[in-house]
Amino acid sequence: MVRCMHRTNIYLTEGQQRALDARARATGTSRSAVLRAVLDEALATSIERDDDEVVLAFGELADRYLEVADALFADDPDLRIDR
Amino acid sequence: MIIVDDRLCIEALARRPVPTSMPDETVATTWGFHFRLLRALADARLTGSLSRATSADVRAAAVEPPPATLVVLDPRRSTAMAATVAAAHGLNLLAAELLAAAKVHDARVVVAAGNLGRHWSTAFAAEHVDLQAVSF
Repeated sequence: MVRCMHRTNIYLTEGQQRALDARARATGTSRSAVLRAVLDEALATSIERDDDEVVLAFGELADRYLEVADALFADDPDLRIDR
Repeated sequence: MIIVDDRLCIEALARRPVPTSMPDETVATTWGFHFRLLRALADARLTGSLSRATSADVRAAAVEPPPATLVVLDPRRSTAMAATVAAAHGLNLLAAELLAAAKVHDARVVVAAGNLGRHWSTAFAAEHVDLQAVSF
């Protein structure tokens, strides 16, 4: 797979740099490749968690929805439910 | 295709099974019910006490739901039909668009029992559209 990459400069602590270099040596790759892999994993996890939270929030809203919608649209002839 | 109201849109967005829907069946809603949903989600009475995601995140997810989760139907395809059934059955914009969309897309309609309008059953039956109301 071909990835489009953008060059960027970041500041790392000495500890982070040592850890990246150690993992790069252990896996036979470069410091940049290790950093990209770490970012991919961390960001993917974050997106998945956010998505799960939104899905759970819809579940929370379900019970209250009809009551709120009834009040909101009671005076709107186009959008209210006439029972 | 199954066309649902705003309450059942929430079930779809919560990734819960939409009552009566079959596997791989497209779940859709009308522009009017999508507007009602987004308008309600903009109200703090509904979203003010979310314990997890922010209300902005929730609204954003509802604005453009993935088509695999929920399809928002283009109202222009059913405008003429909506006008016709509104005149024939005395329906408001919301109900007329729902009935017309079902006819145009040859779909059935499922709504929450609390969202069933007084004259809907008669009007939908007259137009030969399958309408079901589900309780929670």
